[in-house]
Amino acid sequence: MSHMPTQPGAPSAMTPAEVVAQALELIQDSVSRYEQLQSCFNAHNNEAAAELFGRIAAIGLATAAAVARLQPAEALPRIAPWDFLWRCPDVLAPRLDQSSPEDCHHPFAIAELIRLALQREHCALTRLQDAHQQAHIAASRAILARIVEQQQQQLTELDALLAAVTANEATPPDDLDPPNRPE
Amino acid sequence: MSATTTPTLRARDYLSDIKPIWCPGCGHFGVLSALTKALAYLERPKEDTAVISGIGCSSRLPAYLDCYGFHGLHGRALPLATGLKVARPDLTVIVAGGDGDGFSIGGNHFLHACRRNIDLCYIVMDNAVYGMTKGQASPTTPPDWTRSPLTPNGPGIPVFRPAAIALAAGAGFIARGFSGDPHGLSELIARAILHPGFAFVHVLSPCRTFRPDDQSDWKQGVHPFTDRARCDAEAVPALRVDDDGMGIGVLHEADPKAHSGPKDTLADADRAAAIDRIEAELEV
Repeated sequence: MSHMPTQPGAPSAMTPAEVVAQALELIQDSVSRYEQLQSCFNAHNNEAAAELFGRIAAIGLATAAAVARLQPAEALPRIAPWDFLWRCPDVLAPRLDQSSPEDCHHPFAIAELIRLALQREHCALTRLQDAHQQAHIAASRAILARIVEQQQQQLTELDALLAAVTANEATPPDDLDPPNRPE
Repeated sequence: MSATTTPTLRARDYLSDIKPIWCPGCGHFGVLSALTKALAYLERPKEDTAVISGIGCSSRLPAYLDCYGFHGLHGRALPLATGLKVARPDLTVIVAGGDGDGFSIGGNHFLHACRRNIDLCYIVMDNAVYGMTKGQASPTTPPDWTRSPLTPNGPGIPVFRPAAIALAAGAGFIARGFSGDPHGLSELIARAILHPGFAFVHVLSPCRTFRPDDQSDWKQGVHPFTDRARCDAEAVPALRVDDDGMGIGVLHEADPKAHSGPKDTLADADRAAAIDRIEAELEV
């Protein structure tokens, strides 16, 4: 089992390179999920939702690029996927306290989707802010402060998207690809 | 796919250009993500990796990966993969499918794959429903599930217990993961790939379309599996009784040195001659 990972150190003692590696994984993982949602909403004929997820993924990619520029001179450490600290929750997973079948469905309204994305991105912001407050190494703390700024910028852009659509939103679109429940 | 040796790859590099057509919120996305993370972490060259599947929503997985793949007949993924692994033991052979494909249509192959202990990693995405055919009861559907018009009073029969049955049949590695935790699942898949012998990864992968009523709470229901089974079939009753089906982690891992599966004993010349003979027979 030579490939098995070693446990990373305490979160508060992360080096700048570890901080960037952890943040990049979190952001890139969320981008991957937005891209997955873009393609599956495309496949299920909700083009507006697909386009939205494409835009959100692009915002995330810009954030990832900005974070990557914070990389210190040293190479980023190789961390096993299961040892990453800040895991991205499923953007469409039901909330812990309010799970119901209606939490996920094909004909999502655009504003509803942006609110879900905002909820998850706020969760990421909270984790990054916590890490910033707990960081003991000054250089790591400085990088985390910049990453928090980038995340806040991403939230601002999502807020702007939400403001743009809520003005036009009336009712959710018809389900153009409903599941055929009866045999 | 390039035939040359690939450099260090990221998880997303293992994805093909074909976009998944799974429903929004489908658990299988998490399995795809976990598998690519595991392959990237293990630095498995694409050209040395093959993913074999049967039929069903989950069996579409090979199309979404940029490595060798084969989308076979319903329930027949394990025989195909066994043949491939015996012929090409140098390859990492991963088998993917669902609960209907693996436990019902291909149930007999599942038993014997465990028993033969060929070096395969078998990932079953269990959503306890036949999703591709619009929501009928599968072997792992609870007896009181009444949402299908085919079984309006529920299937009424006990569920298939994949982990206990795999243990009874002799599988050397048995793990259970949750698609909502792709990072944790990636560790189980990586360990399964590294295990020398048959490795079974049972993945709880919710179907948001046909089982939204009772699978939304899986996220809160899963918990670490703490009662590690013993390394023999005598542990099956305990696993069957004590396991609530939601414990995730490695349920059983036999000593890798105990692997007694087929070895690559054919010399290249012998293999070439055997292939020629088979091809000649097929032409007849």
